[in-house]
Amino acid sequence: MDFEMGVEVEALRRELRDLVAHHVPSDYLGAFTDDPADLEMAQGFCRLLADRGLLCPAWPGEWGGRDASPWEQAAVREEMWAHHEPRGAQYMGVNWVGPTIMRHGTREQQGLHLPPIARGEVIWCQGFSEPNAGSDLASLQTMARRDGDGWRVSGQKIWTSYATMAQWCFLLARTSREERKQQGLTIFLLPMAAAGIDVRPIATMIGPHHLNEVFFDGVWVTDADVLGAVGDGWRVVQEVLSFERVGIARYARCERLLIWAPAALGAEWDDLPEDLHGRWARMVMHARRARLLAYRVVDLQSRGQVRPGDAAAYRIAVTRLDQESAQVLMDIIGFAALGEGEGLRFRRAVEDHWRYSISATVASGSIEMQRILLARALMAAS
Amino acid sequence: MAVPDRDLAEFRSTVGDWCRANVPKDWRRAQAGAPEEQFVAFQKAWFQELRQVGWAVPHWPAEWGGGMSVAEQIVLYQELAANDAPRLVLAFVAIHHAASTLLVAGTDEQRRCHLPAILDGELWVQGFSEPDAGSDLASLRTTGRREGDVFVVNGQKLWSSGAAHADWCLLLVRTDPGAPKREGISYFLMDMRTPGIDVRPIRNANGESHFCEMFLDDVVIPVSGLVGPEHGGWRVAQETLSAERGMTMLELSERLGRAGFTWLLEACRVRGPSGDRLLDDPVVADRLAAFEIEVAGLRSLCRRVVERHEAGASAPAEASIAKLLYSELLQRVMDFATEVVGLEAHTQLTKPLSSGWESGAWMLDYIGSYEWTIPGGTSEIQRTIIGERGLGLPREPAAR
Amino acid sequence: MNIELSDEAEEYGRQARRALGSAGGDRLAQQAEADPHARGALVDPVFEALGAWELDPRAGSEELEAGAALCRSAGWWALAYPVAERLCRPRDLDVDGLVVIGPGPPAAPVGGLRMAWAAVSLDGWRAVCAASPLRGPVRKSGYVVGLEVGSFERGGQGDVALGLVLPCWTLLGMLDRAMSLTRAHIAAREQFGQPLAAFQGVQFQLTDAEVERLGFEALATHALWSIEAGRADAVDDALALRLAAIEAADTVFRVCHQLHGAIGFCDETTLSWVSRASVPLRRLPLNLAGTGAALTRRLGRRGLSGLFGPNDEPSPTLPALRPERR
Repeated sequence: MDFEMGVEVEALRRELRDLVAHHVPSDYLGAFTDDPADLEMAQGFCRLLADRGLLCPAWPGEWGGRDASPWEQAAVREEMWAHHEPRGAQYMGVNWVGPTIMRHGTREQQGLHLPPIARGEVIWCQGFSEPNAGSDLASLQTMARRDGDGWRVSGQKIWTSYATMAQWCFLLARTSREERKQQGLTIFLLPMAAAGIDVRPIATMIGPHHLNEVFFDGVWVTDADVLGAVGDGWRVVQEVLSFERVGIARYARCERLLIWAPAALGAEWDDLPEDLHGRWARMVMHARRARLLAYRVVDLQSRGQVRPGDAAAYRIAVTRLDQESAQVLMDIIGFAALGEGEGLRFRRAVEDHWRYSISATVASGSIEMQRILLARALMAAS
Repeated sequence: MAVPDRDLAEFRSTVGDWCRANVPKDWRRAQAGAPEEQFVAFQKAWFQELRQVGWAVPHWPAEWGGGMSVAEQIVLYQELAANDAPRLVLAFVAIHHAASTLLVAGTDEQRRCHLPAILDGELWVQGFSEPDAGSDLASLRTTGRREGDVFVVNGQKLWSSGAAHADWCLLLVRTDPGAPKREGISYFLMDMRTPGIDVRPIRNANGESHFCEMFLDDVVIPVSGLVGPEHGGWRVAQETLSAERGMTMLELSERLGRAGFTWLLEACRVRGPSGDRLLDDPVVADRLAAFEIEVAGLRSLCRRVVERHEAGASAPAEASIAKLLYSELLQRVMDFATEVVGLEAHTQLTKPLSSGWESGAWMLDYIGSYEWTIPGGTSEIQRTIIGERGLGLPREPAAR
Repeated sequence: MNIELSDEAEEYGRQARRALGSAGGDRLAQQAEADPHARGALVDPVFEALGAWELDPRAGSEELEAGAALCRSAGWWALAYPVAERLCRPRDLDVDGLVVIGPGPPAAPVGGLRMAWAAVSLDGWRAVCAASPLRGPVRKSGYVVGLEVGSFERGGQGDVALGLVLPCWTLLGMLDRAMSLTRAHIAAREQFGQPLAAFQGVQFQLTDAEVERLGFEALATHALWSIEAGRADAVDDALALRLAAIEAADTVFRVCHQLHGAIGFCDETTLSWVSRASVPLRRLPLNLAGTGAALTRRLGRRGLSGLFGPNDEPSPTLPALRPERR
């Protein structure tokens, strides 16, 4: 056995860490803040990564990538999420919009969309969830009606991250009513500048992170904007969701903040109540546990295998870790002054982690959906 | 009925004094690993001691030998727990389930026949669950065929605690196989001496065998043994089950708070070989404090449940909330007790019979506490009840 | 990265499980309980045939992984035999096995075997010891007996991690079994006209238990590698594993009992036997609180090894893409 990722992956990790250290302000907490400078920073950082072939390392060389192994991709996910995702909104384009277009797009679509994603110049948003289609995504109602040689899209999407800044939307809409609700769905690659789109930000308690509603009122799209076959959208989306399932390396940020805590608190660390030291140690163990569960999924991926139960189990473990570690870290900062310098940066990062963690068991496939998937896999195996 | 505080305080000291004079010294040691006959004799004798002072069935109506106010019953159970009096585990079904069945749904003749007999030591067992009817009790399959003035009963009952010692059985039987499942059940009082009854003990993980299986082979029950209308037994069972809830949960919560948890605190105060006390470990102290809060909350909830029940103002599902809280808290406290008491918990291998769910033999108490989230409606069933009746959620789609 | 046991080790584990199954399977634990002093003789021929006692987990990764797989298979059958403890035998002492002891009075589930044991404390002090005679029925003691320990000497530092990790593999096998039994039970048992497995309340309890079991398995594999690779913090890794193992066992057995209902407490179900057999492994040498405390002490301000070290935070004085906020 070998639990080391190997010299190549570690070199990549060091390179990323150096870039973060030199270019990302140490108080940066993500690109979706109300400060436009954060977005600018993230775009600049993406160009830096793109110049080094690090923005979409998993992509084939043909499209500006470097055919990185699943383990290298894991290291990129870890380093980026640990440092508050300095790629900003780009991870969506890089992680699943691009790969999906590579698999299902026409040559024209690939030529149009892949180079800008690879250069870090474009932001995508995901038009999936609707007010009445959350966990039950297939019951979505946004319609695309045939109109001449194109389509008219009408309806409403919700919880759309980055919609205010995105240039493109990866939209799932209903093009026909069929017997099963999973049928008759189609994917459109839709320019956000099109007439008839209205984006309204939703104020949330998740600190500076933005969510939006997007209204479509007869928005015109052409056949050239359809991804894959008309009516085949559900199958493609399943693939997208399975990219997302490995998803964010939440454990990496948890681990970074947990390990940082003693140094950030300095002498005050030793004065914490004994049981808090114990809860901290337990969380350190749980962070490792979630990381190893993620590695099981990556390991399977590297051998071209999928066990849906394993991905769901990882998601359950990591989202719970996110919330439990946030609670322990909040308790820790409650006992310390942390009024300036490194201490202040740590406190801000912990508070941000806590606010963001609230949504961990809800976003991109709720924990209940993960449990349903895992239960299905478990009972199928018996 | 309001009892002045002064009288309650006096009653409290009366009970306390009586306990100090009458609770057998060292009964725990004598009951640890005692043979079955000794346990039964001890239980019956203790029942009569309590009966003499009027405390064996305080919750019964005055005309049958009870009549104590709820406020006094609360004091009684608090003091019995605080003075570590043996529990009436053997007569439990008789004085609670059987009595409330007779009082709520029995005929005068049935009451006259059995209530005085229970006071004289008649023991009862509940014959409800079956191998294929646990949580889904209404799907029970034991059949009763009417033949003139008698029913002939065949089937199998499971988890009938104490069946080996019982004189009578509360029995649910399907008497109309054609009717919807809740409408074809009848409720019987069955004499355990009737031919055709075979009782076999089941050994559980603790090595105890208070669970029994009961096989019924052409057992003849006279029509006079019916409680409530023929085929109307499901409703009788529902009513009598809900009639007994409050006070038994109160007694258990007082046992946990005033006996079990207190012993755990004592164990944590003992100085170990190195002179340290477990209590000085801040982590242990912290967890004890958290448990203390939960135990206090549970006791106060149970008091509220019985007081509101008496006032006729029961909130829906509050009995389920109390049971769920108690059973899950019991598991966690026992788990913690085995943890902190360590190896000693492991080698304490005999549990004093006649004690509550917490006996101080922590390891065995811990294993025993696993049971509590299952009988009398599993935690899953309790949660369903809380959701549907308490919170007004729609019925679980799968359970239709 | 290679995060699974070798195919050879897995195959050896499967063979061991089959061999123990043919030798009696679940009946082995019942026969041992009926005659505790014959428990060795019951399984000796199987272990002989498997060459179990020729395995030296200290000799290298192959034998270590095979040993772990063997422990897991023994756990599957809730085998009343200290397989892990015997595999841990130090080669430099004239003993039959090794147990780790905690701060309390030394004890281990090694009663009734007439063997010589070595005990090692968490900080690596080692002593030869003798097991006290079995006391009371084994269905309650779980074969746990006190140890009469001789004088302690240094030199057991290399024994601690191994002595903690292999028994966890036995426990892992018990969790595998408990989950498998429970899956079968809820698929077969019908209430309200459908299998229990159709109720989401049941499914969700099962999944949360499975997440615990999988997490435990992942840490068990990692801790084994840590020993294999001779890492300096193998004891930290072993304690982290032990903490996860006890937490997982608590959740898994609670869920499995709850989903079995009352029948799960009865001797005619295998769960009752597996659950009882797991208890000594969860309590000794350190229970949940003790393991947590030991891990906390060792981690200090450092944490476990992983993606980040205690001094990895960059100093913020470097040029950035936007200025620091005040």
